[in-house]
Amino acid sequence: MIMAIKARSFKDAKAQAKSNPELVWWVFMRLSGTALVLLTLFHLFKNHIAVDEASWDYEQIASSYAGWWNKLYLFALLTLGLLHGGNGIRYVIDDFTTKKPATRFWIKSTVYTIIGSVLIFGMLALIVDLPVPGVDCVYPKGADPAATNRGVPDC
Amino acid sequence: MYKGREGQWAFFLHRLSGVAILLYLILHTVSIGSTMLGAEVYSAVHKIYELMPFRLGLIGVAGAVAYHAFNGLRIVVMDFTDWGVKYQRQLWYASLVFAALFMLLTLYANLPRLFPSVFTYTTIWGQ
Repeated sequence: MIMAIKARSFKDAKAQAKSNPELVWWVFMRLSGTALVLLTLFHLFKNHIAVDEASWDYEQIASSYAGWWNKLYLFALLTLGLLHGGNGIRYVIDDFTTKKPATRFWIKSTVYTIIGSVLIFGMLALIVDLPVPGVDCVYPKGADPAATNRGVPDC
Repeated sequence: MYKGREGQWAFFLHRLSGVAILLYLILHTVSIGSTMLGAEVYSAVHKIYELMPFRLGLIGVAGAVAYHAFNGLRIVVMDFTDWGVKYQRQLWYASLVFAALFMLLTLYANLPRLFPSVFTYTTIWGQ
């Protein structure tokens, strides 16, 4: 009995890939994409469907960042999401924008710079420890926490 | 390749939703990450989350994410199995249905936030 080759399009991809990194990106898009389906849909369900997105004030974010599992989860979402999106936008630029090499170079440089900056900003925001109100800092003297400006503490 | 047929629409919508999600991811990272700059900066940025157009837009973002997710799974199945290629059309309609269901769930959760006087439940579990 002949075993059917299941990964027939991986073979196609291998044949089509102009370079090895291109094939690595092809595989990465499928692996990260599958992981992101679970990570993103659960993230959306937990933070937007089950809870009102607009209700996420500083205090809630600070306390949720205090948990290491949560940080790790968001770190995975951030890095996988931006790498997946960054490579995806590269496909879009290659297919749908100008073929002029100089112009394309500037489009890609700008887009990669923005994505890189956001990645670093997001990583820093997760690494830096936020003062948790009521634990690391206090509310303004005599103020009712619920009555202050969206619960902004004196941090 | 499959001009004008379902596959063409699946491809086009995948690219369009992908770009939209990336833009939102950038916005979202900057707005949530602004907590790093202090509570005041964050709440100033976060005020836009309460605006009606932003709330409506987020339901659209949820729909785009769900479509990109389910159609992405369809692409993976097409790449690694024969039946995925054979039934790609049916799989596309299935991903549209799942995306629509996810978006409807998001809409249902958001109705009391959009129209508090009409819809009185606070969570999707009632209550």
